[in-house]
Amino acid sequence: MKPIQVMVDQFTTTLAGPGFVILLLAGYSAYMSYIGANDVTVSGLTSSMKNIKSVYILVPVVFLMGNILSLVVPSASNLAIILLATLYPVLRSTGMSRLTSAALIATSATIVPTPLGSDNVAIAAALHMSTTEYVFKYHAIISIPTLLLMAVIQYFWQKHEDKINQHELSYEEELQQYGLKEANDETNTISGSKGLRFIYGILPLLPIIILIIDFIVGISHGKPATMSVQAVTIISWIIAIFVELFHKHQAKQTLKDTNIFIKGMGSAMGIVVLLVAAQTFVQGLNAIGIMRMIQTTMMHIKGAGILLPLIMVIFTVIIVLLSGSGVALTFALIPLIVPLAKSAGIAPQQLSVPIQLAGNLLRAVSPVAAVVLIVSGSTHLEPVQIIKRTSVPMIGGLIIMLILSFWLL
Amino acid sequence: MSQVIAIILTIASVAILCYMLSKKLDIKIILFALGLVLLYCGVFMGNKIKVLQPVDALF
Repeated sequence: MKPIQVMVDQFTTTLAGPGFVILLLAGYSAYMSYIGANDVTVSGLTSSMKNIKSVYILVPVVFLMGNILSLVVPSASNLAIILLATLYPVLRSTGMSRLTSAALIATSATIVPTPLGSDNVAIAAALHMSTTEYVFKYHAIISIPTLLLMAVIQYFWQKHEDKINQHELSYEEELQQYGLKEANDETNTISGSKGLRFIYGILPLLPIIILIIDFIVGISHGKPATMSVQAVTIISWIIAIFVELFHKHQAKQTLKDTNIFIKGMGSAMGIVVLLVAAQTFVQGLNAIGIMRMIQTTMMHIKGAGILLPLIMVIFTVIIVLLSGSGVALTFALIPLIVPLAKSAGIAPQQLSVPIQLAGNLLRAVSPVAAVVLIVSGSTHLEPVQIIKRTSVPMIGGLIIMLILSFWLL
Repeated sequence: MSQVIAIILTIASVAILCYMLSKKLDIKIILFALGLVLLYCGVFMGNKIKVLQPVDALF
């Protein structure tokens, strides 16, 4: 019965943790659509983008913007959920294809150098240097050029793929095909002063605005950000209810409308179950001992010389593709970085930076990675279709990162 | 021996997953099924079954 219990455990832990974030943000997004705030935001942002001649100019911009936002929301899947609720309708309304928009959101959190990253803190401690020194002296000189070149690859790859797949659904057709249009038909339209439209236009972006403010306040006080995505979403919902109350002066109807939030939460249950399924598969791989075996092999590689980083990156890629994450592996390898580098006769950072960056880059190429499954579930695309779009920029980034590591570190 | 079995099972399960994905079948039930089969294989191989990775590891 133990395997069944593992599945049950996965349901309870996922529902209480990341699943709850997904449900809350889906509920908030549904409520924003219902009160008409999403329409105001989308029309406001798309009208400011009307002068852009080619929508593909937005590809590198959105990719880099997403990566900067990952400083505020470090979890790749949480950031993807927020961007799916806020940025996705805007990108689609500007005429960007479904697959390009999905690929950009799936690759929004990759390798931004930040001294706040827990992996950077742990590696810097193991290498006996300050986190700032490690991040800016070693991590950033590799990750920043890699990110910039990946933005260029994203531009050309997404454009090339869109040219091949020209039978793409328009946003209007997408909404109709997946039953979203019917839901939207029941929504309210915001008409009134510019001030009122501005307030409604801000509401869908409120969770991310609060998170950015919390991040800046935290930085200025020398403390890490304290607010969780869950708390921020609930605060935003409460503010939205008050805005509705003040705008409509119909307490009974406004409170009745709050049920849309709960209905929206229910509609995202499929994505949560997808995550549980992926985690059950990963637990199965753990149970047969394959992860432990690869990890043990990595820990005992000695005397590979300058090829050691390359060998370690290959193993990291295998683990990330199989499990959808390289975080656990990076932390497991941290105590071994210095002795392994010493035995190979290379500097520790020549080993730590490639392993760390490879894990974060290849996540968006794994069919069981939470971020891929969330984007696939929300956009009604197959994980394979998304991986096809993310693979070339991410593998390109991996190769650039390896070349730069050999050259600069 | 158990290492060889683990490698064979991993390759087989990944191959099945890729095949099912290429056929555009519902990935949820495939992942659940493969996960359960691998978990039972782990039990038969005498491995200790527990929730090894925190769920955050997927993120």
